Amino acid sequence: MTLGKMSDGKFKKVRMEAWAFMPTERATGTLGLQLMAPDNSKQVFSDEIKLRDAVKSYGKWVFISKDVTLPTDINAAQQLRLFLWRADASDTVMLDDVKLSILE
Amino acid sequence: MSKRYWIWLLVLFAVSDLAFTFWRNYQLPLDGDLVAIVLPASWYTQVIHDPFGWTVLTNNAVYGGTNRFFAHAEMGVYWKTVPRLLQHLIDPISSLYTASALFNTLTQAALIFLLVKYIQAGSSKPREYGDFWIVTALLIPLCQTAGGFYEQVGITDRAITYTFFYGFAVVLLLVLLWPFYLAACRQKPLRLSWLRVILLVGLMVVVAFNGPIDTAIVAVLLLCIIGHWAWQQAQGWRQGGAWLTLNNGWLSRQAVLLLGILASLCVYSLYIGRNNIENSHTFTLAQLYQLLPIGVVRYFLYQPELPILWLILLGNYALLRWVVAPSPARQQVLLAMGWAGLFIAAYVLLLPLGGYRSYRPNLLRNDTALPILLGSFFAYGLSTYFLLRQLKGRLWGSYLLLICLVGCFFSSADLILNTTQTNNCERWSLDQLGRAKEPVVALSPYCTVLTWTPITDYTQSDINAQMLFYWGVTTEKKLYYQK
Repeated sequence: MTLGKMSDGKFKKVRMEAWAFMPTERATGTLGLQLMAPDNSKQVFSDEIKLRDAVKSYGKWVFISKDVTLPTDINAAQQLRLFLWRADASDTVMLDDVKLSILE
Repeated sequence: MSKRYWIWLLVLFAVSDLAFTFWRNYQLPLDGDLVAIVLPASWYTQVIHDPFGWTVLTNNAVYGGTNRFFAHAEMGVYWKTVPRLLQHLIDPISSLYTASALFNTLTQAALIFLLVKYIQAGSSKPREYGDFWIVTALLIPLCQTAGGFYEQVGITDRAITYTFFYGFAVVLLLVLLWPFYLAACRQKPLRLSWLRVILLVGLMVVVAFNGPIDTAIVAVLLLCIIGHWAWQQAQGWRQGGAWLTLNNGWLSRQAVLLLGILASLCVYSLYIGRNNIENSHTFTLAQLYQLLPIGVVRYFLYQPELPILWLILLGNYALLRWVVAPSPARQQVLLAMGWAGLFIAAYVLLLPLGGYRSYRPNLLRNDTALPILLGSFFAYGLSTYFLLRQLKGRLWGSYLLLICLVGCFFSSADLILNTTQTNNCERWSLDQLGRAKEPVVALSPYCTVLTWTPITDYTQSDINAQMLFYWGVTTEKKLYYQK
């Protein structure tokens, strides 16, 4: 989604939130946030929540959250992506109630 | 609670409303005519170089804004100085919106102030403590700022250019007419010092070449004055007296001379205004008159403020006529209401002569309806305040309650803003332009940037890019397009 569709005015900070479930310590992954150029040709910014660092209890749902300060030169046509990345995981990872909100 | 405290509450209400008006105006985007007039664009340079349209007379030249020099000049001077002055305190982008909000707010304040002074002068009852603030509080809820019933009764415009051409133009006209009005109210011949005469003639020149609305109002007013003078002469003749004396009552020789100068300037202005290139439309006058009835009905019923206001005016008229005891003061209010009604009717009837614009398909909109609105506000302020001072007992209480309820209804309506009208998106685009390294910048298509419609071809952004560089929003000329 473009930033301009998320908000009609420029914003500086967003909050990523989700409930994560990791059955064992072998599970890993990241909740990633990417800002892409308007034509999706390149990434202009990224940040993430590393689930292994954020989740310390296994076998139950854990609330994770991170405030992300965006670059000052974001523009309304840039695309924002929010995703779960688990390329190097060897066990199941689940996310629920993923939420992104604009803080300021 | 003593009257003194009530008055302070009204002052607080007026100041709060002014602050709210500023805040609301500060959220509005910049319009698509602003840069072309301020820079100016090539199609508006001739009016700056030829203020009084000599080339129209000598060469039958046709160009943009032929009889609107002062409106163009005022905008140029204001927008080339005020944002830069404000930049000593705030950033360049904010300075543009602050300058726009300041002008819109001050114009609204000036219109209300002048209306209150006109109402006070029109009332023959002796002044009382707090008069000014009571009448101000009556008028404030009627003014809608970009929200509520704005499309019908906004006396300043969402587009700042239109506030210069309509609201501010009427401010100047009301200042110009003040000595004539005062003399007419007092029924004393107009006598002004030479210095004031010179200043007044200077202001007449400004008013005559200041856009479309002032000349129209002057034409209607002069028709009313001439009609009234002719009627009085006929009355005198019927009663066997002498007739055809030019000066009569407040119409001293000086007044007649000054009004003659004003009329001549306006006629000349209207004449060269025929060559305004923006007048191009294919409607005949007969077709415009066919549009008028449906236009009036659509405008009148589009939102509820004007129907409610006119219902109250009818009620006020009935109360004055049948409840309030006859007196010279009552007669004066009735007479003033009659004149306001006559003025509004004449203005509406002559409106098709003003031409046609595609963005104003019904002829009437809040900008062209400004004389109707101010006439209605004047009649409302004058009659309502008079009734509040005249009615007694339960009727007074019920009437006060009704006026307060209507005021609260209008004020609460004004609090609702159409969010698509904010400047957040435009600000963001300007911020992007200010930070951009590339000479041609791709902006999002979600809002306009100093235009009426998004720019898809970057070559069309040239004058906007020049203006943004001048304002310091960009450090060099940055062209842009939107996709």
